[in-house]
Amino acid sequence: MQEYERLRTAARQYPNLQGLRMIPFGVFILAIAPRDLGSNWLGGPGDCTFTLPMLLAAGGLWFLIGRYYKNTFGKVTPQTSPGRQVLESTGLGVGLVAVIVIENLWYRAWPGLPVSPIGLALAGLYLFLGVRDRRWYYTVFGGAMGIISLLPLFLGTTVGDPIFGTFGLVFSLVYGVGLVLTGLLDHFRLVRMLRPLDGGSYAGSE
Amino acid sequence: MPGLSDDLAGIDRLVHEPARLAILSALSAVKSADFLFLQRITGLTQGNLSSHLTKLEEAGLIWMDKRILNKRPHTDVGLSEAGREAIERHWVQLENLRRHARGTP
Repeated sequence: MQEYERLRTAARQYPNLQGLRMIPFGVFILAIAPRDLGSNWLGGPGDCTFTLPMLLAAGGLWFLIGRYYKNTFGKVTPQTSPGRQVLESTGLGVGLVAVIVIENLWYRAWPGLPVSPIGLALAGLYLFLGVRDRRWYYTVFGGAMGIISLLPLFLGTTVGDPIFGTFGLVFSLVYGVGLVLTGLLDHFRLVRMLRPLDGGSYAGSE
Repeated sequence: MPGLSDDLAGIDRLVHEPARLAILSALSAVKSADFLFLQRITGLTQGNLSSHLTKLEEAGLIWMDKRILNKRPHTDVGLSEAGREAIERHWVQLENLRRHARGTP
């Protein structure tokens, strides 16, 4: 019975476990992290000369890695409606990248805030996904994002305080590393759930 | 109230066979899946999987959509309404059997 439940879980979670697709976005966020320190070769906040092509490249890789999954592990159409499918697949990648930009603008517009609202929203999202799909590493990631988002409050400062001027950098680093690590762990989980193409436990049964 | 022997007699042999039950279980969680995914999830060889799929299709439990994509054959598979009912019924029967075997009502 447990084996059949494993099959159902693997089939249901297959689209969400294509973790390598999130790595380009994680790397993108890590690459633009120094921007939060001020103007540098990335052009500083608001300058899209380098960041937009990098984001497009990450999006391109997202599609290419999707083809790798399709060619290596096959294709599944989930039971969710096509509209929700598009929203989930594009929203997860592009939406999460947009968060870092919004975060950056937010704490510059309201520097007096002692917490990061976007960071807390992300923390809540990952905690929810971790509990719903029993992915412990999402729970850890959500917890880390929550701590980072509340860090200015713990330190008795604000997200815009010059003493805490590197908030954006710390946030981006944790977020980028988290996306890369959770992506890798998702991928490993998927590989463990599926079988090699040389005959498995049902081979030979008629 | 049906007894253990009734439950055993009611088990559909076509569905209960381990490989076919694995295929149906995986398909019950999705709208459709392609041949490669079913191979990766069950670990069956191409020939074995193909043979089981044919039996399930002949019984009307699944539908198959065979196409040529980029000069390569591509098969999408999904549960039919009858197949979805059959797998649901099978899980209920297995649960009943387990309860009977444990002696719980």
